[in-house]
Amino acid sequence: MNRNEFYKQLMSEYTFDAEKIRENAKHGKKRQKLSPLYIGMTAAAAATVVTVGTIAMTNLGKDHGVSLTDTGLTTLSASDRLNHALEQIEQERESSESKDFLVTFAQPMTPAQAQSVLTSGGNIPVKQLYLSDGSRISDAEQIGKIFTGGGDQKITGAAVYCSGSFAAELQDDPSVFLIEVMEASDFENAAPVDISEIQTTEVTLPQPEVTEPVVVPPATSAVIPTEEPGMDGTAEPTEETSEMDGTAEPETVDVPLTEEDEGLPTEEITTVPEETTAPPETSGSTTGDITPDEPGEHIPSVPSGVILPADIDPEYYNTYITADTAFFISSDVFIVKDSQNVSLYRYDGVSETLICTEPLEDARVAWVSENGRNLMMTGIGEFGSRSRTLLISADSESIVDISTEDTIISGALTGFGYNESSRLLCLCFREDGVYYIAAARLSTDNTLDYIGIPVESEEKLALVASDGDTIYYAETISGKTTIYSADAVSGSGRLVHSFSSAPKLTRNLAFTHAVFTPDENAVIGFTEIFDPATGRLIPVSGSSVSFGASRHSFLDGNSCFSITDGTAAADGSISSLAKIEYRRSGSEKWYAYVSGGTVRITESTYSSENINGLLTFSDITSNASDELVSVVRGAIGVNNALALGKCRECGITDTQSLIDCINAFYSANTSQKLMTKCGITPLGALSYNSGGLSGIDSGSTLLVISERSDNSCSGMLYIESGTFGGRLAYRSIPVSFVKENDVWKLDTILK
Amino acid sequence: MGNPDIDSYFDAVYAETIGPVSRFVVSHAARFQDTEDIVQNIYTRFYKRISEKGYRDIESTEAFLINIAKFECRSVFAGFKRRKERDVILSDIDEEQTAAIEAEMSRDQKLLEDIMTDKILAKQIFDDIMSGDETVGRIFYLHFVCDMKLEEVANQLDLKLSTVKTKLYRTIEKQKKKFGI
Repeated sequence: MNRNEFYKQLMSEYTFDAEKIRENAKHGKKRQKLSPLYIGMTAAAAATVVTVGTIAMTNLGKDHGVSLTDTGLTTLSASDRLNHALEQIEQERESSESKDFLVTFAQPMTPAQAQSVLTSGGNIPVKQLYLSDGSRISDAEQIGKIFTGGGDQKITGAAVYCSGSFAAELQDDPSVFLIEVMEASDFENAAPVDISEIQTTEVTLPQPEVTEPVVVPPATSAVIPTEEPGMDGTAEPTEETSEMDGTAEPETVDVPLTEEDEGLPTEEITTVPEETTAPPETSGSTTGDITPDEPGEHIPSVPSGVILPADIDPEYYNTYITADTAFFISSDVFIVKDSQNVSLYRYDGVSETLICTEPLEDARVAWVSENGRNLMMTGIGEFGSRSRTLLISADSESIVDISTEDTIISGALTGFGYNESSRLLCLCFREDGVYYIAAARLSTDNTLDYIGIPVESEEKLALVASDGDTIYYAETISGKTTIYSADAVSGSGRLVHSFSSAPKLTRNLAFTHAVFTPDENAVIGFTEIFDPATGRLIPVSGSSVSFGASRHSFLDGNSCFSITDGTAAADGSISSLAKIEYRRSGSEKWYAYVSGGTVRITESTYSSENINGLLTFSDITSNASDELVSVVRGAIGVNNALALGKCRECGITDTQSLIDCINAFYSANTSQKLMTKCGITPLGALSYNSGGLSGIDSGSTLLVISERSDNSCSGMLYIESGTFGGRLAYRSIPVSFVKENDVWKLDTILK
Repeated sequence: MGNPDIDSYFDAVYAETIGPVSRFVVSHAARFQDTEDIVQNIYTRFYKRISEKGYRDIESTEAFLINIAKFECRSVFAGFKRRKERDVILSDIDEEQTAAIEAEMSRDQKLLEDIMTDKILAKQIFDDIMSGDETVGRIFYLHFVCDMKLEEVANQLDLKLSTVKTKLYRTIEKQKKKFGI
């Protein structure tokens, strides 16, 4: 044998045990790096291990299987851990199967005391020791030194590998406070339970790793009557809700964090659409209070029995598609999501048609293109954690799985960022206690080209933003957050900014900015927006900042701003608001929402008319007299009867009755114009058309009179057009009134 | 376990791919001592995947496994960075020394066979390689096990050829003295 052959054989034999790897794989075993240290081992049992007095080391860790999915002790409160552990230990009492257990001592012990307790039933492998100063020791040699060194360390707990029955015996030892079954991740994350935190209140079982999104009842609408808000079963967040998607991970014991997103926020929730759809209330307008019936002169009035529909509810179409979220992503295509599926439908104004559907458990919006026509949703993958991503496109009317599972596999996604400009996709995920940020490029054919993992840390990582190929991320250690940059390709980076605390981090859907909000305990501090293009933190006045699908425009309170060159300037354009309120503005025709668990469709407030028209956002105060308001209300009732084709429903059975209704509120001149417009002739059967009129809810109008004389007056009728960026907007119609027979009449056709 | 079809498919794939997969892992893992664990995890994931979802959709098993390997290695870039940081700077050995060592490497020595039968000593020699600069372990594995030429090893590890030669031969020279081989 020459030296080449010698090293070939040496390296082949000792680097990998290929046969063992193959067989372990079939048993689903993964590697665990901790090597247990046996304490109390007898000489006979130590034949194959190196013995130091009664302390012996061996390496058994590699053969222990590790659960591919675990929740871990850190997901539980101290009280929950106690109750959970007591239940578990009873189940383990008769078990001869060995597992990893975390022993919490009733009080800190010296090494000798701990050894005495742990070896009461014989030899026991110790994989980790927890000291009273909060440190942990997992290295076998270090553990050996603790037990043999005679130091003054105090041990609060130990991770041991033993049978369930022996664990139950240990639990019965008064020196032992608690025995808990350990998961793989607990070696890195968990610590002995803090006895002072044990409460005697009712205990809840562990929560799932992925929490539900914040659900807040929708805000009431100024556009849609809200007489019976309780009828609305929708559950979308309000504008007060931060832009989280709820994929928060449980906090680890050793890294206290504020309730930040940890890079999770994916779904940005903008101002909530008006989804209240109370049953129509047939509040009508009669003329009893405004049409004096003077004998001898025919004063037009609303005929007896006629009730004009002055108050109307917006019309909606109920699709009866069950969903928890729905919104339009193009003029006619809307997306529907329930707990298990994502689907695309087309609506033609009469009925809907299913285009495509794809199963995706617990789907959440992770990215939306600025035009709202494409979006990505993450959901639960085959390993039961959030790892799957679908790309939904209105342009191609398709749903495509972009295979993020191939990168995340059994990890759990904690943050998602896709920058449309660079097509850079960043995935922040956690596995086995380690956080990773993976980078990939989405090609034009929607395949994902893996780049690599430029960042990993055992501390909590959160995606912040990206600019070109530079990824900005936050790392929080000991309650302090630091922003770093990293090149997606080379991994090289630098420190960008250090906070003295751990502010709440919220990333926008476009992955172009992030908002840092001071934590609740901060004495001072501003809400700041991180601008990766300049590296600046831009202070903003409000605490409720929402970007929606916009890359650079955001709502701060009720004001809209756009970021340019590191500064934020006011921006009140409806087009900017549309990007922010992508759920409401996807279609200029329709607006889909969920009410009572099913999808309904109504007219879009982001109509072409509103987007291109002149809207008024000022606070409007009516100054008109009751009489004028009553005239407007009556005219609106007539308009609605004509526009909605409901004359007969209102009790108008013949042409004269209709003409009387018109004349009751409109001036003679304008009445003639309206009749012409709607094809109403005095003779013949009742016949009319809408004349291009549209329905108006009189309850959503405000009349402001600017000029007035004895016989005429004029002003502006403001009609609510919906909320834009949380602010109520009005369209306005100039109106004038004249007095005829001492009665005010509207001299303008309301359109 | 228990599906003969899956098991036989897995065994065939394993035999076919363990070489390139381990080579990839050795080249890219952040720490050489983790490579066996990483290879184990790659094949565990792969077996779980084909058990649950079948293998009909897998066109190239090697590509599929390398993709998993990328994930498992994760710190590809950080790993390279760390390796460079940990590199021990040695003075290059000259051509004359290299030629002498290479000639000696091909000479049969009965002692070496004896050492291989002495498992304890063999393990000590292996551990000695692994205990130092971890690039050395990669070089040894890629060169001796994967039969890669030193130029190829240098390219694979993004190192200069002279650096590879120096690390390899100095380690061998050191071991000759240390273990009397």
